[in-house]
Amino acid sequence: MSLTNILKLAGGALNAQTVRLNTVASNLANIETVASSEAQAYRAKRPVFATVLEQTASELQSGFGVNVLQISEKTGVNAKVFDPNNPLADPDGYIYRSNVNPLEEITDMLDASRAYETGITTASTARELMMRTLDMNTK
Amino acid sequence: MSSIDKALGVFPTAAAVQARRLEVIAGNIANASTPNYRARDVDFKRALADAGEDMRLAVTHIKHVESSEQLTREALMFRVPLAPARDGNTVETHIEEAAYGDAAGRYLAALRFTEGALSGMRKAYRGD
Repeated sequence: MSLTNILKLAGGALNAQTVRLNTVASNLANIETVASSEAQAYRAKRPVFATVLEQTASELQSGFGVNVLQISEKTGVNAKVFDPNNPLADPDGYIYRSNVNPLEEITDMLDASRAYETGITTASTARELMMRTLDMNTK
Repeated sequence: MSSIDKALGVFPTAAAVQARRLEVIAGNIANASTPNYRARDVDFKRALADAGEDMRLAVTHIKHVESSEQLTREALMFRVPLAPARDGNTVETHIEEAAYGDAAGRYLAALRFTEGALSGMRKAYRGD
């Protein structure tokens, strides 16, 4: 039945958005993290979503779910800062900062939380309709 | 088509098509941030026509199960986005939310009409 399927779809969406919020939290927590080389420096992480195609129903399937395909890392450069007193500084006295952009993270967080709310509303509307259908003709 | 089906008219089928539509739109909302996802919606007129008797699989054996109404590929259409995103995603959440509300309202309306037909039949059976 398609109404129960909506709950499944919305659940998948909430799951995906939770992963996204998690990566935002991790990025913001590591915004001041420094490292001794560019390879070790923290890079902002972001999930890549992909549509779930159920194998049973192929193209005739009507609602497509979503899940997290992978977590990608931001490719931008890590800022190199001269700070010889830092215990993590490399032999030349440089430390490498994370490439997290707080503005990007905040907008991403807002978008994720909006999407999460929408998912919940979708599920609760579907639930109401199911309940209404079950109550049918009892009067 | 049984006589009860006839008495209920098009409304149970309409409710089923709206439920399918709700599912398609829920899929769009779930994929609001998926790259290259294209938003779809159900062409109601076509889906309703497809849900009619002639689209069912033939039942030629006692053990055949009658098929439930299923959308054909033609009844699903891609939505034309007002402002497509750079990642190829054409879901516009506000439009999907409005469409979802619309489908939910129509589902309830179809349900109400079905209820009306059922209670009419019941009255006739009871003879009050």
